[in-house]
Amino acid sequence: MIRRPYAAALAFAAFATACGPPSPAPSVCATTSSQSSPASAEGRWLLGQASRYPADTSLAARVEELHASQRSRRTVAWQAVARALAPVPLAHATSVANATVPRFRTWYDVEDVQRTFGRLYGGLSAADRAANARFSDTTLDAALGWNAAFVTTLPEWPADRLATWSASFMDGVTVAGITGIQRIGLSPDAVRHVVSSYPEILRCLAAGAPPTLADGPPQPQQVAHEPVVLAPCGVRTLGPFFVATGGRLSTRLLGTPADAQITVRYGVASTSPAACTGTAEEGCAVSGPGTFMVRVAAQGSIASGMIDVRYDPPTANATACLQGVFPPSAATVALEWRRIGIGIPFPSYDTSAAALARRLGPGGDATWGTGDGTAEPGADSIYTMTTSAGTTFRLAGMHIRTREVDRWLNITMWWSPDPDTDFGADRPDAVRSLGAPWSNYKMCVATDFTENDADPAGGFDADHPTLGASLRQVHEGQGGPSWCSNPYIDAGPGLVRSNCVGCHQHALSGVRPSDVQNDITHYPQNGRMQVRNNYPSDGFWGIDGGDQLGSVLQQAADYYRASH
Amino acid sequence: MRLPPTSIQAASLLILSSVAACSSDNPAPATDAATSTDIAPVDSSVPMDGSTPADAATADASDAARARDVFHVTDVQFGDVPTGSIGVSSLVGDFITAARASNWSTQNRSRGIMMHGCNGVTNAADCLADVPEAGTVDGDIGADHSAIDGAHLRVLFTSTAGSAYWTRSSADGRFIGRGTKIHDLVRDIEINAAGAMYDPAFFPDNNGFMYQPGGRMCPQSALTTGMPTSVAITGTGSPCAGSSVGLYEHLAAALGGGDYWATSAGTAAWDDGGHAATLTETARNEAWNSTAQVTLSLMANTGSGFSFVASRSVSTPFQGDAVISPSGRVMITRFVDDAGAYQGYVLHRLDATHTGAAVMVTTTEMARYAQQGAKPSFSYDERYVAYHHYIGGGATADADAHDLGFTDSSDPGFGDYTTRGASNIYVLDLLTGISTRVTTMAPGQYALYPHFRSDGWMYFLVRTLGTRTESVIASDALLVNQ
Repeated sequence: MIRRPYAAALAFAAFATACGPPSPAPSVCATTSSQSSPASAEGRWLLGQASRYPADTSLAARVEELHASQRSRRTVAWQAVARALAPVPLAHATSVANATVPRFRTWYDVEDVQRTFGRLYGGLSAADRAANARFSDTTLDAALGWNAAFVTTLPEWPADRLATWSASFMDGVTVAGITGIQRIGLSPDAVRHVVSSYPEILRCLAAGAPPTLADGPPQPQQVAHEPVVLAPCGVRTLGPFFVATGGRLSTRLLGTPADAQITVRYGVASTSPAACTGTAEEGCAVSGPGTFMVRVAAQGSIASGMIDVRYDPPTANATACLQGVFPPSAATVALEWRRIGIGIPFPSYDTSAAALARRLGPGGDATWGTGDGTAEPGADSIYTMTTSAGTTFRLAGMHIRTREVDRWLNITMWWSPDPDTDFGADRPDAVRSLGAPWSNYKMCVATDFTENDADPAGGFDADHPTLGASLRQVHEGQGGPSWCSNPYIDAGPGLVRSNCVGCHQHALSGVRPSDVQNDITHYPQNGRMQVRNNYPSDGFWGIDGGDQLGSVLQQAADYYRASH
Repeated sequence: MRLPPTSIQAASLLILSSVAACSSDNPAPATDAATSTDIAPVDSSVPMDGSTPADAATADASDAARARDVFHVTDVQFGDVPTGSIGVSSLVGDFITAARASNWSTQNRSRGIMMHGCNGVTNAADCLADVPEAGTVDGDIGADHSAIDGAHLRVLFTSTAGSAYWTRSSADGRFIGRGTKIHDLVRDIEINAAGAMYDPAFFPDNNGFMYQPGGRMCPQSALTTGMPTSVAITGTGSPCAGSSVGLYEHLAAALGGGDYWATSAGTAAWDDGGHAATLTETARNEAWNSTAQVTLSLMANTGSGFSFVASRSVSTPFQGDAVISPSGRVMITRFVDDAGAYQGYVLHRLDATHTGAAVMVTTTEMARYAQQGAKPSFSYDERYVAYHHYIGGGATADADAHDLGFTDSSDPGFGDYTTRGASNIYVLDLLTGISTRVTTMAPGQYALYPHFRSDGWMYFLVRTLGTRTESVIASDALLVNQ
């Protein structure tokens, strides 16, 4: 399936700098390493089949609006949060009357995928395995249903033991523990897409993912225009532009170029060589294939006008490691649990404008660090669970990603002792009404590599001034990199500057989060820039990070392919 | 009323005399000793699992012992056993009953772990059916080494590259860590554990493994993703993290979302036998005296991973070689007498908790077994322990010779054992105290480092004196006679 070309090549990853060194602090993606103790088979039975994410299918048509409006973005993000947190009844009774769990806590984890895919793949004939046959919807339904009832097939779990075990859940905190220490959770349609994509996933795991430039026949020429006004020594960099084999890229500065120079560079790395250089007025041109950046540099006088870029992008499969992009009802969560009772303090973070200014300003290292304080929130103010082993955990933060828009709604939430200010100031009643723990989480959202809202305060100065002030601190200009960072999850150096989207583009590409973290040359702007025209797993890290679902699929395939 | 240790030792010698057919490479044993027996079978009526036998777990232990007329173990004491005495206390039965309901064998089955070689079979006993039996391939360890009627010894692989120290395997039986090579049975390749030196160990939840030095904890996905031929245990790009878990480590994972625990050396006896003639259990690396200790390390599930929290040393007087069970609920040690002579095993209940970073550990002696051997390893249902025992010399030479069907160690037929040595594999039923020999190796053949996979199959290494050839063998001794 051919993914539609992103508009991003037109919505420039543009940033202006002075003549000084433009090097921001290094960045890191959120960790993708994981050790989890997910829902057991009996836990899955109690939860029942996972609850489908009720996607808002109208959002895809509003994507440009969301890119351009922080307010609209946050509004739909809170609505998505409400959908993900909505209470869902358990499939079987416990000692807690009418017990529910948040919808995302019903979602599937690595062991559900292990059981379900094993069932599906094991059910194929040898010929079908050799042919990488697809699973029918009916087969998928049956496998997911079988998984939910799997425990009932185990001799050590007779009905009376299941009943006794179910009755042992006496309160909300233990009910919350039914799902276990889940690190990632996948909505039903996300799981269906992953297991249905096993031929592509196994191929990419064996042969490697496609390179950063997915080439193909040239599409019709595209034109990008960006107005610029450059002071003496000012620089403006635009891109990346992806050019097909047989295609070209030409650029020049229309208007008053003065003595400005224009350079086209290979690749996004700041050290990459020039492909062509010319006066801004005459411009220059290069041939594909390649990924290029356009750099306009004023010299001794002011340069102004419109940068004109014309290029022939490739027609390429943007999600070569999946059977197409995820459906809108695909949603995933990544959960950050913190253990109680092992002597590790629970930190709290200040995300006010003043605190962000301190971290992002001169002398700050743009790192969340170990916290601005410590707290001991109770289960009434932070989502808390106790596992069957008696260990208790707090949910410090969580990513929620939904595929309702092309680059996902990348939402992250974090607990705060001061929940109704800055990133919690606009929390809607739909979330407040869910109950106390969820009113203690703040939220940010990103939908693109770049921030296209011209208002640094996102339109919140009037009604939510603390939110507006904090947004102002992370706004790097219209067309600059977008922002969204979770203090508990985005813990690496420099990751106060983060936007989720930049890191997730590399999922299943062979690039590791640590690469993005440590290599500011090849992953500029703290990894927030687009550097590739394909997204092998549609930005889903769960296949080669997190719970390593690719490894789970491969193990099952290896198992059945083995001669014994 | 408890028997004095000398009496129980005699009983154990009788237990050791459960004899099966001898190797074709062996000197001919006395025919009247060639009585075969079987081990209390594991229930393998469920696909890919070897669960605890439903009846045996709750059976009266002495009855179970009496049921095997080749074992004259009625002298073994059960019930109220004073600490320090040979015998099996009622705590063992309580534990086995509790473990039957929840253990890593059942847990792994419920998680859908796919046991290696079990594709398409409904009983664990039927797994690995396509793997050649010993004696059917030129150059393997030879035929007739099984001491259990109906049991099979299957050659998983043979390598001409020798290894040092022990061999351990993943819970699903797919990966075998032999020295610094991890053999992937699915791809039939050896994965180099780059930067490691020795002591591979696998977590019972099939999620990770460890190598020494440095207690490097690695995700199992490092072995299963792509087609790795080498995994960096240390250095740049390594997926592994260091810990303070020391050498001779054994790994446990608490059931139900708890913590990881590890025992490490404390007092140990390094055991790398079979490279030269090894006639007795190998020497201790330090004295096991009244101050002997075992070290337990807590790697707490922090919610975002497992972090080393703290270690705690526990007094285990005159004991060493501590091995924690897969769930961390029990621990077995070897014990010596005042003179330092090996006497057998001690089974402890392990109550390990922590308050914050303060680790509290108490041990309660549950049983003492008078079997001689080394390198014990628990089955995943925690009812059995497998171990190896060197023969040919020492205090047990006569008993070992008799066990193999010879008159005693002066019997000419036993002569090659007294010069070349050998090692056999045994399985000890913790509930009954019955130990059963699984192999009958020829002189110069060393069956070593037995350990179980999640479904009850057992793997062990065979070294052959004078060569660098090593084979890894699979045994269904716990699964036969269903």
